[in-house]
Amino acid sequence: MSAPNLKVTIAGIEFANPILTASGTFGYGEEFNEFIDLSRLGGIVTKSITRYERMGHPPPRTAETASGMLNAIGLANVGVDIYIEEKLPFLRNLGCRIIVNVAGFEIEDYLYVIDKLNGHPEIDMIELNISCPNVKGDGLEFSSNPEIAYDCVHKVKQVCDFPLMPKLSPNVSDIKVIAKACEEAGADALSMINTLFGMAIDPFTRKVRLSNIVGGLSGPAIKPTALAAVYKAAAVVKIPIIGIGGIMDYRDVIEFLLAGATAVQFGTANFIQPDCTIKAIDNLYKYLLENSIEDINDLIGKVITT
Amino acid sequence: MFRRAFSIYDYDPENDVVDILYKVVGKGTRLLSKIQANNILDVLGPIGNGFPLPGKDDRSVLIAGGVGVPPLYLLAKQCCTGGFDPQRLTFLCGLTSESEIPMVARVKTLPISFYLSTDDGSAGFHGFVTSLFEQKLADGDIRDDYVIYTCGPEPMLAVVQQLARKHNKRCYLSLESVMPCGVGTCLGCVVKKAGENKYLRVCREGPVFDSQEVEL
Repeated sequence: MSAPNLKVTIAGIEFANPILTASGTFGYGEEFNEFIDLSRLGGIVTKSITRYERMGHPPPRTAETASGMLNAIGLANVGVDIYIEEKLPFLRNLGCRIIVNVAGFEIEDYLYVIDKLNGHPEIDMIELNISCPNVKGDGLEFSSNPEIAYDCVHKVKQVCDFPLMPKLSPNVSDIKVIAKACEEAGADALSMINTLFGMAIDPFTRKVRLSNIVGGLSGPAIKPTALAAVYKAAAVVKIPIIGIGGIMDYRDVIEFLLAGATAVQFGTANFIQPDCTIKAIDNLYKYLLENSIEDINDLIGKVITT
Repeated sequence: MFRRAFSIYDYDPENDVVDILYKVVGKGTRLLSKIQANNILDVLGPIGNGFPLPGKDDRSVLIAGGVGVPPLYLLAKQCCTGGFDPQRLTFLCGLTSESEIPMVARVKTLPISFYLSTDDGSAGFHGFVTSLFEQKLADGDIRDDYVIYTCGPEPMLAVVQQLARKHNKRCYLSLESVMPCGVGTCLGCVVKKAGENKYLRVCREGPVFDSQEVEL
């Protein structure tokens, strides 16, 4: 058998392999440069950037839970101007795809940031963090309502030079409806899932474990939820899906591909094992070889359900 | 699930051995305590900065609270073996009771001035190590030219920080924090930067900070 193919294509962009890093778990890429060969990754999704710099929530910002992690960092980031000035140059010519995650609290925020990012050749794609509260609307997440999600994605799509990938929240009654709304609004791909709402309390001190009281749950605890979300969404949209949620190794990657994802993002796993992505790429290749699978694309959506 | 951050207690460069001294406080440290000889551990490090060594003419006071002993022991040892006059080092250590005295066994082997306090008065000075420190200041045992190095629980560090400010002393704090990643990306282990709307990462910019740099 010839060397198996690991390449996947999303929104016309070819990725060397389906392994990406999830926003907020990989900084701006440079933090991991001393641990792994970044050029081997399929892509890097950088930490959510916003219109202005944000200092984030006071500590404690994280808590360990059963097979998971709660976080309420509060979208701490340098803001789009410093991002372009200081962070983007490092990402130039890294040899892997660069996806910029953009967050906002009103549609104008997204439009402002996208306008600033337009024209920068380092960027391959935009991931739209629509799991933020819409402060000009009812304060609910943009991703929680199909009309609002549609409106947001539609407006951003009009001005965005890059392929656009909304990142969906699992905190909704039916993710299929949101996925469909985003596709109709012009999304080129979808990523899912963002973190689940969560909370932890110290039973002895009676105190909450996060300063923000509630936070986002990630890690292996949410993998089954993520897998089901990908499976359900893949059944109703034609655009590619990037699966996220508790992926720790190549076996998890295969599960997500089988459920219908074209690629995946490693998140919390980066905190535990900085080289988890590289190991997964190597092991994925071995898996294809050992199972005589010529093309990784042959796994996508091929879960056996009967 | 996450790695646990520990300070380095001792280092033997000839045999490539690093010691850590930890207290079993939760699930992670309990699991760690079950590790047998010859088991292989996955270790990421060293990460972060260390204490700046005192100048040859400086006098230093090292103030340790409980689990804050290890990094200060190593600092004291480095000073003693690095040609620093041991007479210029004073080590104050606060423990909860005499049952914790094994924690300072190595400190006591160093030729430096060592004073102990226990919360319950079962050994040494009765009270917090910060009270012992205040007494030493009042007695004139610790004078103006002393540099403070400290590590321990945050409430203790906050008191030391206040005393350092009050007595106009240079002070270095080694902070403890839950560090999910340890490499500067998760932004979980932050501490407020003094006078600015910014947080500093304990794992990258620290764990040692000039006490004027941070708000506890």
